[in-house]
Amino acid sequence: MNRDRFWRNAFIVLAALIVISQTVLMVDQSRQGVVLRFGKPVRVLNANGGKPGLKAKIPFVDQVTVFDKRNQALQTEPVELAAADQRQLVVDAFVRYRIDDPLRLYRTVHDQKTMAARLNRLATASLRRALAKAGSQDILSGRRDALSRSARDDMTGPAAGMGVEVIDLRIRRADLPAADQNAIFERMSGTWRQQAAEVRAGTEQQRQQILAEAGAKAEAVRAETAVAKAKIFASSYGRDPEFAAFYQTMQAYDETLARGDTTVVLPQGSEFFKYLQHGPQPANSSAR
Amino acid sequence: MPWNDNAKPGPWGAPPPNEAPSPRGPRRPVSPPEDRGRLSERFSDWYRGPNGRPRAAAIATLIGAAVGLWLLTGLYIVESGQQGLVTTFGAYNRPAAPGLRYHLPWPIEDAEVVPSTLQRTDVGGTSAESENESLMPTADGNIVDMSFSVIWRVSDARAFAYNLDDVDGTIRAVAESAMREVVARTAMQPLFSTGRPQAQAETAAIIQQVLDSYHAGVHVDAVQIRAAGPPRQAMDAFSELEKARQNAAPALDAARTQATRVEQEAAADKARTIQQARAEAARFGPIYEEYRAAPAVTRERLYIDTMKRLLARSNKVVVTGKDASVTLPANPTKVEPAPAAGGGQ
Repeated sequence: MNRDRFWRNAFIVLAALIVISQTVLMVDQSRQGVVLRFGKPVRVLNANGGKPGLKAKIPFVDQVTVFDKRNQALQTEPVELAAADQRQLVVDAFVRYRIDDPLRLYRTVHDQKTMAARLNRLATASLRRALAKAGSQDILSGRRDALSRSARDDMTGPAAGMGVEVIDLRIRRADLPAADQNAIFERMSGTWRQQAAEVRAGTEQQRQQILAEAGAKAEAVRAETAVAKAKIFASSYGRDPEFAAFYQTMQAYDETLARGDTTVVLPQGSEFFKYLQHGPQPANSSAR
Repeated sequence: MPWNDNAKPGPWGAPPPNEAPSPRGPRRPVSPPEDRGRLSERFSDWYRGPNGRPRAAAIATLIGAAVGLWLLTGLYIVESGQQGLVTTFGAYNRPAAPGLRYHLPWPIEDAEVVPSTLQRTDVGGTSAESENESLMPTADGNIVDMSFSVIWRVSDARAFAYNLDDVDGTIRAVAESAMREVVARTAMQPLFSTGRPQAQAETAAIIQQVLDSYHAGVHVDAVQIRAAGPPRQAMDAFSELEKARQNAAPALDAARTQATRVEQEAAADKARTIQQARAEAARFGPIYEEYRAAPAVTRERLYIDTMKRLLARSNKVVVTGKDASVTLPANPTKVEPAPAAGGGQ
């Protein structure tokens, strides 16, 4: 008897739990839901002004499909396109969107995955349309912002048709194809090599010029030196060139020969030894 | 731990059942079946009243204990540098400051934390997803290799937690897009040098504006360019140019030093030469006066003085005969002068 009662109680509790779980549901702050009655959407949860939190529904009859409510990202596939000036570009963009109207989303595309795929196609098509009219330089730099905005505005309508608000479309990358990139790298390298050569040549030229200028200055100074020296000697030795020559010769002997390592061979009749040879009679002028 | 080592029994004492009993005889398990049986018997005694039915008090105690444990699961810690957010049935309810906090246990309430300290998101460089991530076209048709970081923090925890899917990825994508936009309207050379602060500021402003339009609850503190340089493919040429530029200044400095030395040497030579010439002239003055007074005597005296000095310090060979010949020492430089004949100068 006890055993039967236990099982009966257990069954009641279990049934109550199942019913409660079918009746009550929590809607997260960042989620929203569509309530389907026999598969037909009847109302939304935490959307169109609704609040998140504890919600109730008719058990077994109502089902709830949950969608994200947040600002989400969608990265497009890289789009290869030809700009107005026929240059090829690879454009990478991302779309920020939010599911604005889950009811409409459910009715039109049914689920989030289908919606994302369709949004991706929409974004790619809008990008192509917006960029086809623009020059490659505008896409690469100047009017990127305006072009992004025009692509965004282009896809806003169709996206709203499936209950999605397009918040932003931004071009992340706009690159030249690999071959063109390599050409740019080559050109940059070439420019830099040329500049390097110019810098080296300029440096060498400047170096030569500095040295040449210094050499010229030094040469001028040496010339001045020679002139000054000549002037000084002229004013002194110039008074008697003959005696000056004798005097300077004597000086030169002193400087060059009187070093201590010279062997002097004196010939017969040397003035110095005249008394050694001839005795102490006065020297005659012929001895010189 | 060597589980199969017979000498050391496992931590639970009992050897595996298929093992042979050890020679010291069978070991007693720590928790023999009789003990377990006794425990369950005692629980049964407490749980069931004398009539064999569950006692109300016992059931209440069990449920109370379960509820107590459940209530305790609501304790959580918000660390310093974090902010807590409490939701009631999934809906945002209240913020929570750092410390030991409590929320009603799941599923009634739940809590999550977001960081309140500075955060950093890197773009390009080693963190790049692809090589192209950091290659950015410039306004003058070049391509630069950029890696930078965004320094940001949560300015609105609620918006940060609930408004955006993948905030870090969003910041990264927006930052890359913003930097590309800025680089695309800047010339290459400024990006390598003085233009960086401006590029950083402009990028930060764009990121902030875009994130605000997403209601991301993020404040961008700064954008820091970690490296802006030539792409890998053009690096060699760039290094060559850098090297040429770096070598230029030292080469010119060396040339200037050499030039100064040459000039200084000439000037010093001039000064020395003039000084010597003057000194020489000055010495000649008195001698000339002497000579003018007595030419022959002075001439003779000068000659003899010179010869005296000269011969005093030299090896002397006097040849007196007409046909005399002299054999000089093999190496005249080695011949020492007569030391006694000094003092000539």
